[in-house]
Amino acid sequence: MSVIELRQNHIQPELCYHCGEPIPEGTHFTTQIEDHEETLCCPGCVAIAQTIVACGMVGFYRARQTIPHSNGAAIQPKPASQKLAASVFDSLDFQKTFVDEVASNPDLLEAHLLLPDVRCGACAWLIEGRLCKQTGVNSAQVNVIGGRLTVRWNPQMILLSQLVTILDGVGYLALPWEDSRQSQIQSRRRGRQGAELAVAGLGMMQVMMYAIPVYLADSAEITSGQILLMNWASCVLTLPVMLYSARSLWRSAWTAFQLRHMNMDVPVVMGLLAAFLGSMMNLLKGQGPVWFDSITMFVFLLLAARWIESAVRARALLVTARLAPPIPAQTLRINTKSGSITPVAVAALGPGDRILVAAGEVIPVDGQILTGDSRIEEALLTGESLPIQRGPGDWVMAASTNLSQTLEIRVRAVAAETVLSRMLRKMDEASDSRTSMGQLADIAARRFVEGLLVIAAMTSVFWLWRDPTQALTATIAVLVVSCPCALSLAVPAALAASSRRLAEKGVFVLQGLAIENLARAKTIIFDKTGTLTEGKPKIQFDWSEPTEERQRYLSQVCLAIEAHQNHPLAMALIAKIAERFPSLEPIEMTHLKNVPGHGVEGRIGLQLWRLGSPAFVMSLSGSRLPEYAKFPAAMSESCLGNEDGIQAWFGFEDALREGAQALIQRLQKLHYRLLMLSGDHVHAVKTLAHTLGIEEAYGQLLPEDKLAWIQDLAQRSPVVMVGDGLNDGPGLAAANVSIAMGASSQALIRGVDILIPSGSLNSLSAVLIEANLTRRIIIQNLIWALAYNLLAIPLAASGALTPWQAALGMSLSSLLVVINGVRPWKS
Amino acid sequence: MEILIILIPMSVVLVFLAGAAYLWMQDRGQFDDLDAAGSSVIADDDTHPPAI
Repeated sequence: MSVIELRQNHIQPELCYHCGEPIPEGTHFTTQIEDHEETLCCPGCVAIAQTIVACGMVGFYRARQTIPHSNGAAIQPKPASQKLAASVFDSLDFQKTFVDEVASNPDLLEAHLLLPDVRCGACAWLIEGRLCKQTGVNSAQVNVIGGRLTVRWNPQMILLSQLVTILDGVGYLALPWEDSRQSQIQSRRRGRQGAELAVAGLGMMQVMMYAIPVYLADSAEITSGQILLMNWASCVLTLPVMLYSARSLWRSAWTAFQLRHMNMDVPVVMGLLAAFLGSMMNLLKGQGPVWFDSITMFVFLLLAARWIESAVRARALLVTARLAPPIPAQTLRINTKSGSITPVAVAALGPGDRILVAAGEVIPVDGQILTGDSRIEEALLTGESLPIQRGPGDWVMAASTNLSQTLEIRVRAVAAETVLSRMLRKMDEASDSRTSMGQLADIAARRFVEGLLVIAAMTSVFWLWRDPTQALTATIAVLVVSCPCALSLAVPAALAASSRRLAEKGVFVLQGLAIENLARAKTIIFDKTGTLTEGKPKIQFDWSEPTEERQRYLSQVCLAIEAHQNHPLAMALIAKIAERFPSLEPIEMTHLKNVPGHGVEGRIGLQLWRLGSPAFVMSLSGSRLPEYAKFPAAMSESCLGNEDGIQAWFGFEDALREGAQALIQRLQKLHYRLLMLSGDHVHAVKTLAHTLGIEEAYGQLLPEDKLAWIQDLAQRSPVVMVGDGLNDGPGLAAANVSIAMGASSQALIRGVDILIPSGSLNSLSAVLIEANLTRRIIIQNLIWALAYNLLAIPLAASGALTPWQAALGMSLSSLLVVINGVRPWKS
Repeated sequence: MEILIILIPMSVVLVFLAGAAYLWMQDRGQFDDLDAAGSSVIADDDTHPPAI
C-alpha cells in the first residue's frame, strides 16, 4: 500500500475501542466486549480489554463518557524495515551499537530497543509485565512516545535473542535503537537543564519571601538588623542560582566574548553581574538596595522559556526517530569457504565480505556487484526516482533499493564510511550553519549593548563631575535596571509557545529558529509531485489501431516494459491495463534499460520498443505525433512506440490535493512569491500552475537543476522549500527553511526544519500563519522591552528610582513579555 | 520579632534540603519518563522484577 493511500485512509481513521488511538493500517486486533466485537489498535490494548472483561469490570467502558481522543501526534508512519532474525541479536558486533554494561551491577547488560508497534500505555503495561516475569530480566521500561524499550538482563541466564522472541510472541517487533547513545547524552543534558531550572525556581521563591517584607514594611515594623539578616539570607540563596543555574549563560557569554560575536547572553550576563556585585557591595556596606530577587526571578524565567522550547523539540525528535532507518540492520553473508549463507548484522560486516541482497530489499553497504543484473533505485542518494540498470562490476551505494533481481555484492564500505553517511553529515552541517543566521534578538542585543555602554559611561562621567560619591551607585543602577530581561526573554518565550502550539496540531519544529526564518521568507517553492497533487494519476488511452487484438498486444508490451518500474506513472498505467484486460501476461522482453529522465526501452526479438516522453519515443522512428492524438491540456503525455512509429499515447492527469487551491489563494493574498519546480513535463507543470494561479512554474528539472534554482533564489531572499522528502533531499537542505510533508525515512528528514508527518496542506498553512504570528509577538516583545528601557534608564541615571520600583519594573516587564508569548492568539 | 533570627536561617536550610532532595530524585531518574507513570496504576502488583 502506498504512502498516499495510507494518508488518505488516515483522514477518517477508525479509533481503538480501548485507548482511542487511530488503528494502524494492516492490523486486525479484536476482542469480545458485551456481545460486540470491538476493534483495537495493538496487542497491549487487547490484553487490557480482555483483563477488564475477565475481571467483570466491563462497566468501565459503559461508564466512560467519551473515548479518549488522540491529538494526532501519535499518527506515525510505520517503518518499512524488515524483521530481524533473532539469532542476529546475539552477535557481539551487532550489540556494540545498542547494548551497554550497567555501571552499578557488572552482571547485567542494558539494551535499548526500538519497538515501532508500541502505541499506548497498554502496550507498555503488556511488555513490561511480560518481560519482568522472565527469569534473568532485571528491569524493563517502555517509553510510549518514542516507542523505546530499555531492558536490563543477566546474559548468564538468558540471551537477548530469547527476549526478542518473547517480544515477538506478544506481538511486538524489536529493532536495535542505534541512536541510543546520542539520545542518552541528550536526555542527560535535559536532566541537567531541569536541575538548573529547579534550583533557580526554589531560589526565586524563597528570595521573594525575604524581599517582599523589606519592600512593604515601614521602618517602624522592621528593624534594620532584620532587613540585613533577610538580605544575607537572600544572598546565600542567590549564590547557587548565580553559580549553578546560570552557568550556561556564563559559558555562552564567554564564548561569544571570545569570538567577538555578540549574542543575547552578553548583555544578560552584564546585567546579572552588575546587579549581583552591586548588591554584594551594598550588603557589605550594610546599607543601600539589593537586587537578589530580581536576579533569581530573571534567571528562572529565562531558563524556563529555554527549557520548554527544548522539551517540545526533544519530543519532536523522539517521534522522528521512529521512522524507518535508511538502511536495514541485517543482511545475508556468504561464507567464502563453505558457500553457506547466514543472516548477520550489517555492523559486523567488513570490506571484502560477500553479501546477498534479494529483490525489493535495501542495499545496506557500498560495494561492487559480483553477480546479478538488477534495476537499482537511488532516489535517496541522487534524487533520481527512475531506477537504473546495474550489472556485474558496477558499484552500488548503501540505502539504494534493489528492485528486480537478487544481487551478490562485495562489500567496500559500511556504516560511517558509506556515501550515505557522508551525505547525511553534509546535510547536518548545512542545517547547522543555517541556524546561526540573522537572529532578530541578536541584532537587537548588539545595538542594545553599544547603547547601554555609552549611557553607563555618560552617567558615571556626569556624576563624577556633579557628585563623585554618587557616581558608582548611579552607574550600577543603570546597569541593573537595564538588565535586558524582557529583551532576552522576548524571543525564547515566543518560540517556545509557538512550537508547543504547532506540536498540538501535529507539526514538528525540528530546528528552533525555523519559525523565525519562516516568517522572514517571502518566497515559497513547491515541488509538484506529492505536495500539491494526489500522486495517483488518472490515465486516458489512445491507440494507433482500434482493433481489440492489437490493443491487447500493445498492453502486453506496456506490461513488459513497466513491469518493475515503481514510478507513479508506470504503476498507474499497469493498474489501468489490469482494469481493462484482467489477467493479461506481459510479453517476453530483453535488454530492458532505463534512460533516466526520458523513459524505458527494451527489445522484443529484434525490434526495439520505447515507452516514455514523446520526444524520446519519436526519435526512434522519426515520426511525429498525429494531430488527433491530443489530450486535454492538463494532462502530461507519454507514448509507446517502436521503429515503425508511435503505437499508443497515454495522457496522465494528477488530481489536486484537497485544500491546494485554497492554500495557494491564501498565500497569494499574503504576498508570497510562489514558484513551482518540478521534474515532470513542462506542459503538465505549467497547466497545473495555471489552474492553481501560480505564475512561475518550471518543469522537467533534474534534481541538480532544482538545487541550482534554490541556491540562486536563497542568495537574494530567504526561501521556503516545501517538498515531500523523496527526490528533494538536497533541495530541502539548501533552502533557508525546509518543510517536509509526510515522511518515509529518517535519512530524508535530516536537512528538514519542520516536519508535517500527516502531509496535510491545512497544517502547512497553519505553520505559515503561526510563523507570522510568532514574528509579530517577537517584535511586540522587543518594542515593549526597548520602550521599558528607554523609560527606566534615564530615571535610574538621574538617581530617581527607588530599589523596589526598579525591581518591580524589571519583573513586570519580564512577565509581560512571557504572557504575551504564551497567551492564546486568535489567528 | 526576635524569632526571625532563628526562622530565617532555618528557612534557608530547608530550601537547601528541598533542592538536594530534588537533585537526588532527578539522579534516580524519577523525571525521565513522565508519561509511563500515568499508566503504572493499572500494572499488576505481581510484576515486580525478580531478584537475581
